[in-house]
Amino acid sequence: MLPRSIVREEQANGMVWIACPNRRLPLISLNFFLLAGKDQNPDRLPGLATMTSRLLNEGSRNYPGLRFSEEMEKLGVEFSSFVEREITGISLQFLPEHLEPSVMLLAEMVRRPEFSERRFEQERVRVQNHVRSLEDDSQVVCSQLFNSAIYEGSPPLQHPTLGTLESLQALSADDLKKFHRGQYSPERSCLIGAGDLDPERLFSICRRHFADWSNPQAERLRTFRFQRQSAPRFIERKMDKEQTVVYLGHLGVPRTDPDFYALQVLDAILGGGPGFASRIPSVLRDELGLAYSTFSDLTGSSGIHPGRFVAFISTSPENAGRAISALSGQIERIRSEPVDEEELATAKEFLTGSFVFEFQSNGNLARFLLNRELFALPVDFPSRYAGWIRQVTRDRILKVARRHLDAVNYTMVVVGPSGANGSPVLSANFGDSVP
Amino acid sequence: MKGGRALEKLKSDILPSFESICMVILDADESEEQLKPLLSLEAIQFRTCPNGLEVATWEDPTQPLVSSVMLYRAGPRFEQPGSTGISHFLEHMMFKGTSRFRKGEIDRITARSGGFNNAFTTFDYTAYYFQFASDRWWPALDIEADRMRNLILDPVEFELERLVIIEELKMELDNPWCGLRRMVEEAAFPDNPYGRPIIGYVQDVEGIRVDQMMSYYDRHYRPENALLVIVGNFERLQLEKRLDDYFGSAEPFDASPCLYRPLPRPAAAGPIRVEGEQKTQVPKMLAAFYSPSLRSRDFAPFLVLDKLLAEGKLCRLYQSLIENDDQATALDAELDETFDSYLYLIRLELSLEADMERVEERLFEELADLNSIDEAELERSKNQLLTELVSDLETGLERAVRCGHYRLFGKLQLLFEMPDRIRRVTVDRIRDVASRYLRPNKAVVGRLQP
Repeated sequence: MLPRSIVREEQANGMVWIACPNRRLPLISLNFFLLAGKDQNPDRLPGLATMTSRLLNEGSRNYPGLRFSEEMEKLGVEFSSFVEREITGISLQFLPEHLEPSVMLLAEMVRRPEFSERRFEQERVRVQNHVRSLEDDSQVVCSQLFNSAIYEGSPPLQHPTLGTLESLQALSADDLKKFHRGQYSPERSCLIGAGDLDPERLFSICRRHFADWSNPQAERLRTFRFQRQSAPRFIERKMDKEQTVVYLGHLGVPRTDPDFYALQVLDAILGGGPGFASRIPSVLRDELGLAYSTFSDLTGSSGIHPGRFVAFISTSPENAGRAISALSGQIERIRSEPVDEEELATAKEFLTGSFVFEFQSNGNLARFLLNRELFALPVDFPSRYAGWIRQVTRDRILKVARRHLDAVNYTMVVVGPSGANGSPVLSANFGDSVP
Repeated sequence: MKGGRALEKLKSDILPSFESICMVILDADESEEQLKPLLSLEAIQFRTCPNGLEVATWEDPTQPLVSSVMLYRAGPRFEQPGSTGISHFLEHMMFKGTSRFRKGEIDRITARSGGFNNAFTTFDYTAYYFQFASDRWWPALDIEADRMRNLILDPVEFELERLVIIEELKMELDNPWCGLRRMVEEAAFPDNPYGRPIIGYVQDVEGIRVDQMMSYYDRHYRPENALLVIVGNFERLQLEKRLDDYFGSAEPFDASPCLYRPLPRPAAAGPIRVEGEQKTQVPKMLAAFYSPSLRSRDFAPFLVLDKLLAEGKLCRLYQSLIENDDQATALDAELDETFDSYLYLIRLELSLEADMERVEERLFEELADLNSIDEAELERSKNQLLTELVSDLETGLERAVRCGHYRLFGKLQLLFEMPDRIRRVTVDRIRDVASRYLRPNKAVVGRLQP
């Protein structure tokens, strides 16, 4: 059954409103989610979705230019916007007395952004500089190279969410307007308020600002066909750093994969459990002392599209070869032998016991409710989840590991200084086996 | 095998009741009147255990969660030159085994109980935390009570963890901002622990010995040198009994507690300029000014000043250096709640063509030009801060950490008085603190060029 305190309304224009009263503190989190992330970028314009979202609070029809920020900042609203693989999000956090103007400002941003030439140009310069500065971050560089390899054939997903220097240079304010016209529409939008609010009042304010929203020019969502790689791929980028960063993995699974819950258990055993209880941190960090940060994840990035299976380590260059062998060894091990009863039980108890943290903040609640919308989770999901996790067996883990993890045909990206003998890490450690 | 038995015992204590928890969360009827006073000093109770440990309990019946934080007066401010990083190293070792919980077991118990744990080291203290559902949080007390006095420093584990910390240190150094910040701190505090890296210098970390750490542990990890904070949905009578069980029997130590003695005030005749050596794609500037400590009367007005200077698109520095000039492209500021005067840090990412001298000049001009603050500007900054003060206390863990932090500094009341103090800040008070703290002769400016 739907929890008593959560109210959901689907509007005539297709927009979904959800109110989740949570009166522990005098605070409201108001979230707007749009089904259009970087996946909806045209192939040649990486960064378009992000630039569009960044201009939303740079002026609207009724509050042009900085007047928009004046209205928002005088209320003390904490504002953030983000673009993910499949979602654009706007989040406003404020004290309850500012509910009405905050909803109004959200509607201004979503429905009537200004996209002025001047403010676009200014923002482009800032984002380009930020893109340059991210080139200093070996983990970002590594992650980006990894994405470009595993999402081959789906250009919007291969590219950086922020775009590239070149693609940002090619953008215009008109591109942003066109993207907004084609993507921002009520039937793809979900508004979720969580916190010290009354659902009736929230919906009544929303009616004034969103009920008449329509977008006859909305475009169809882009769709993709994904295929996991069928051959190994190795990529190396030299960077003058203390550490070498390694991403090893391949395309993952969508959230709707029937094996999803078994894979969550697998994640908790292999490299995604809390602390250093799971295998990869336990072996590579605690037993071998190779890294401060090492983990793996398969389900954490699952969404509408497949996410990524990544085994990660950041280590000294002289240890990179050992680290890579140990990472791939752990992947091979979970594919080749059943997990222990003890670690299976621990993983299940962690997942079922920690589920409660999904609701500890207004932001967490909003995200949970969004996922329920996106993936059509049953309304009694919280009470059924434990059952799905508990029924996972050792055999099932072995089966899903073999089905979803590949210890041969994976992508390995290595970013960092040269190996101990001055040669690149890959050829130093793998010799001729490196394609 | 003692550890194995401990795990079995804990497992039997923590049988999950998952469904009931979820329904409590999602079906709860809120009682607004009951809940709003959650953010008040009266909601917190204190007791001192027979062994000298102070315990603060903050009941929150609205969520089936319990967070615990154990704070020790141990951190760089208590370290000696030459052994920097020992507090942080010890923080890592606190997960490596005691006489009851062998290596890895703390994490296994935490996972098995569906919880999370971690720890962090600040200049002024070291803290360890757990988060659990409220029907299974007792392992937190058991583990904290045990590792407070029964840590084992196995030499093999010690050496392995030293490697891990050196990797952590390298990871930090790979971030250009971290390297620049370290140089700025060193220049600002040449004779003060706030000028030494919390993680330690690599040569010091490489030289720390087991016996040295054990002696540091014995000095600092004692009940009368610690504070335990528990926030959440616990049953009070049961809690009192458990506290007696876990902390009631230990003998207090004779040694005097580690007190916070004020650090020497730095006397910079600035501006001091340091040039970073790290590789960077874009120019960076880190301007630092000595900031008021959390205990200072100037802290609340300085919080407002920080928002006025560096929050949002209308703040002074954004307008001056980004909106109306093409020199800077990103701005960020940080004001830490330290026991002694530390640094107010302003980070600027600059365009490739930026003129560092000009940016610094504009920055100092802007900081000197606070005579024209109007009421609307002040109100905006206060409102931003008031929202942030509530959101900073949203989760039980955040409340536990902040409660512990303020209590350790003897300023817990301030946590709840802060909104009123903020509301009372005047334009004159802002000008006053700005004129005393944000002068060029009290600045250290770090610069990094591609």
